[in-house]
Amino acid sequence: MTIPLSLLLSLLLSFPVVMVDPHLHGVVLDHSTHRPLQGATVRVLGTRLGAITDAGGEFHVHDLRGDSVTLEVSMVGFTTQRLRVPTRGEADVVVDLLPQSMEQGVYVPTVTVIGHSSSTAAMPSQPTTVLSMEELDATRGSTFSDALENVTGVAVMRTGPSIAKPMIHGMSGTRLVLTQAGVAQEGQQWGEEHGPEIDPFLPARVTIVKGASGVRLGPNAMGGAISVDPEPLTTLTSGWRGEASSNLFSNALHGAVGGWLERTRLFDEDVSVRVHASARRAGDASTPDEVLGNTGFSAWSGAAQLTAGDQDLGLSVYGSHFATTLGIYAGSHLGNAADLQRAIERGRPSTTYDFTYAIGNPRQEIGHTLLSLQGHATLAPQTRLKVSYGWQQNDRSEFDKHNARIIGRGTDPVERARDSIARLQRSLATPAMNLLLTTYTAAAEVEHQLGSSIQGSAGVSGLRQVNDRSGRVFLVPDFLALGAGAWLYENYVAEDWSVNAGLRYDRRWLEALQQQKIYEGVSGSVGAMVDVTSDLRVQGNLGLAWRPPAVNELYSNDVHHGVARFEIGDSLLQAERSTGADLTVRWAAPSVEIEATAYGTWFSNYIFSVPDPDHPTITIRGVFPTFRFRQTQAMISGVDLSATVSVTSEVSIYGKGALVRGWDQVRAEPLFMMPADRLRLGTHVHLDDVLGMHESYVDVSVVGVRHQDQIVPGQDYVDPPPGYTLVDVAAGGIILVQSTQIRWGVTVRNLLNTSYRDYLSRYRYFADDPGRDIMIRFTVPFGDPP
Amino acid sequence: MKSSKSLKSCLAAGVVSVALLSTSCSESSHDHDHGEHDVVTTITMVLVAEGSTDTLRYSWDDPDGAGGQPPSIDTIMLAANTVYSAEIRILNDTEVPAEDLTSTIVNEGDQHQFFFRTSIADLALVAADQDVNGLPIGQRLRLTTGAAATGTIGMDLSHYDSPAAKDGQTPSDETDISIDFPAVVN
Repeated sequence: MTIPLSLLLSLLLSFPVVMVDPHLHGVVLDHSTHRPLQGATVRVLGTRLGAITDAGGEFHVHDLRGDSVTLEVSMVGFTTQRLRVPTRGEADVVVDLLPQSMEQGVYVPTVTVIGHSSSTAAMPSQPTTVLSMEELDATRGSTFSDALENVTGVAVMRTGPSIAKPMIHGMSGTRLVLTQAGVAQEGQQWGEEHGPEIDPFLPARVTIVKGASGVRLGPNAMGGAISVDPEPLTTLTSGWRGEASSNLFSNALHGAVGGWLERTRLFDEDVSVRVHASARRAGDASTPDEVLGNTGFSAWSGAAQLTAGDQDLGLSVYGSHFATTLGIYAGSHLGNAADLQRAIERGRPSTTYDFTYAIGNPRQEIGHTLLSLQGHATLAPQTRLKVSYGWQQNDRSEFDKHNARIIGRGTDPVERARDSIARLQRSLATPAMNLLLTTYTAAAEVEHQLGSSIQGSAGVSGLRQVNDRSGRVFLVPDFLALGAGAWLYENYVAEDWSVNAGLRYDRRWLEALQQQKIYEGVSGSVGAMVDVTSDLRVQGNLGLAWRPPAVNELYSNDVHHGVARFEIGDSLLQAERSTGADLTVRWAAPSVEIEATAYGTWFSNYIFSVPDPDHPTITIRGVFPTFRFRQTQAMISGVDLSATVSVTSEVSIYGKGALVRGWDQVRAEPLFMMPADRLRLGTHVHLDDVLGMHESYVDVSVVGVRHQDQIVPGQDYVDPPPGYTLVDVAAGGIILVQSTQIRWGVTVRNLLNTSYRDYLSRYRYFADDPGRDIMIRFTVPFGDPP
Repeated sequence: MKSSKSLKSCLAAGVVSVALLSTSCSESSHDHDHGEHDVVTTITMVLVAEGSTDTLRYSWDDPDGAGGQPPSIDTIMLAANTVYSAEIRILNDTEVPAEDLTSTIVNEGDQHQFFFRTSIADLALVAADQDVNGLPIGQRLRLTTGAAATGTIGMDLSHYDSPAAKDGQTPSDETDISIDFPAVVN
């Protein structure tokens, strides 16, 4: 592994450079206060391209042509600015707008280019949402996935307050790819109770791509991709700064602290470093009526990043460790199917739990360590090499509750009793299942430009993955997997339209239980984007994607206690393949912004588990329903809709809705576990200066979730829960303490303390979802101004 | 190429050592111990008819655990209009010699209870033992048969997190054992 790396390194350090990226990202600031400006209009002169800045003052313009463009940035009350910015390069633009009240001519516009490695998961025509660090700051919850829940089309599957899995367009787990620092996160994604192992406090920006992303990310990216990229670390300006944050949550008396510190241009060289650390602890969560026993969790995380070089030649090293211990709700761990039936009929836990921070069995202990090396070098004018290497290890231990049948050995009764206690303690400390998944990934790509209108990338990637299991629960075997892939995509940009196309081939080798399997597949995409008028954009995509069957789908053979099912894999499963199409219409007039996406994905060999009522599994613990992994033809389709209307410059009204339908075409019945229809309506009041606070806002919204009626009657133990309506309230802003801008926010989730059960919550069989939760957030920046 | 040479070589060394470190990390799980878990494979019902010295043994046996081969299950043969005293033995025969786990259940009697069920109308199964709180355990029991019939006899062993949770009537949500025997009364 080290020899090719040092070779790459010498390549990296010896070529001159230029970059290729048709996407411009920037932020518009008030020159006098350096605060972000929302609602500023950004136009690209000579084209119909443009954007309006969001709450963080940020804007994105895609499909830029030429080496540089002239931007015109305007906003009521500010002097209009025109500035020429380079487009070649993954650069951010900062525009300072001068208030009109200030004397004209004094101000010299400053354009700061921040070295920024933008996420490359999306094709330009795909529906994409970028969450900036500030947006993440304002939506941070107890888990990483909580911040994604506000994105239209994204649902979250929860196993209590500590485990949340994102679902994009009805697809989750092994049908999504989540990358951290450019490396696809390889955990035990197959489990419904296995969330992504990412710290919500990471100083990062998150890109959510909806739709097949196989060309860029390879197999599994069928539903979309989530990229968590460390906040760009500049090597251009010297300084040090940091942020300290704290989040407090009332529901589980949950407290979290985190912070980061960076030093740029270390020793006056092109080297910058950043370190990050956070810790959190939560006790048992509560529904409006009772405590959910054993749902507490604790976590800590640390990360370090080193960036060296400049835009022509650079290297970034990123390492992180995330560790968590989390309790599994005591009432959800049942002996057999009859116990589950009784628990459901009772409708509430059999015992009353007292609030505690202690975490007992059943519990999970997870550690995830990531190391990512990323380099770029310009090989020739308009040709750029990017290389990456990733190493990660996911260490997951699951501890069962049922470990108590222990007898002492020996003839003397005292000796026997002592031995019995010792064995019991050892037993409780021994995981029922330990999985150690080690993954190496490497990729190299050449970004290139052909003429003035075609840009693209060609690359290769490889993967090696080893899983080592131990313990008596048999859900996944030991395995060795190898993967290799190669891709090419191009993007053609014309005056007010663009088209892109990409193709990728991957091959996966899997060795498990003395069986060797090979899966191969082609990922492809064709997309186009047309600016019909300066306000109206239409974009559409066709995508081919595939995934090899997951190891649990092939080889699982044990009781899954949380769901009281005996799951049996099928080692003959074929690769799952999909063809998807989406169409997005975006209308952005000055006071109205509407975005609508319609999509459909057709699967062949869709893998799912079905009950096998004719062959229940008879065990000494009783009879378990048998579930077998099967394949079918399926279709998932839906609509995402979001709209914002600015009533005045301070008040806007917004709505976000998502509709997903899954259909098994062979059995002519709905697919299991599709998110219920969801609509959020809210109003956002933005006040520049109130009570000595800046950028303050109040947001009140109502989310309605409809009863999931797209089900097969009798397939599940219990029918889906009824629909529900929750009220959420948020407020926040910036307080200036001396010259420090302290960002604060208060969010109240489920303000009315409504009792409800979400269809995607795995505890819905046994208990209500958590009740009112008041979250208080503070972020204190320090050091040199950015 | 603004970086100095020494810095470059430092970086290169750093990167190489980090990569080396990652490849030298263990890929094997720390713990290959299968735990101290005692497996129940076999339930034997031992019956003695009142006034008789003959011992009847019927077993429910699943040596390979859940899944795999189906369990082998004896048919319980009982005489009509007879009273039996019976005992349930809980064994782990994956060990040699087979481990008798019955005493663990009895020692933790205040956290366990057997519940019985039968499809035979004219058959009564009543616990004949008590825990320290005077509640039935059911490890020892009394069977009273009536007229000839065919059906099943089943038993569920409930495990309670605490003695306070056991009331002698309500099964828990943690069933340790739940099996059914075919039964013939003639």
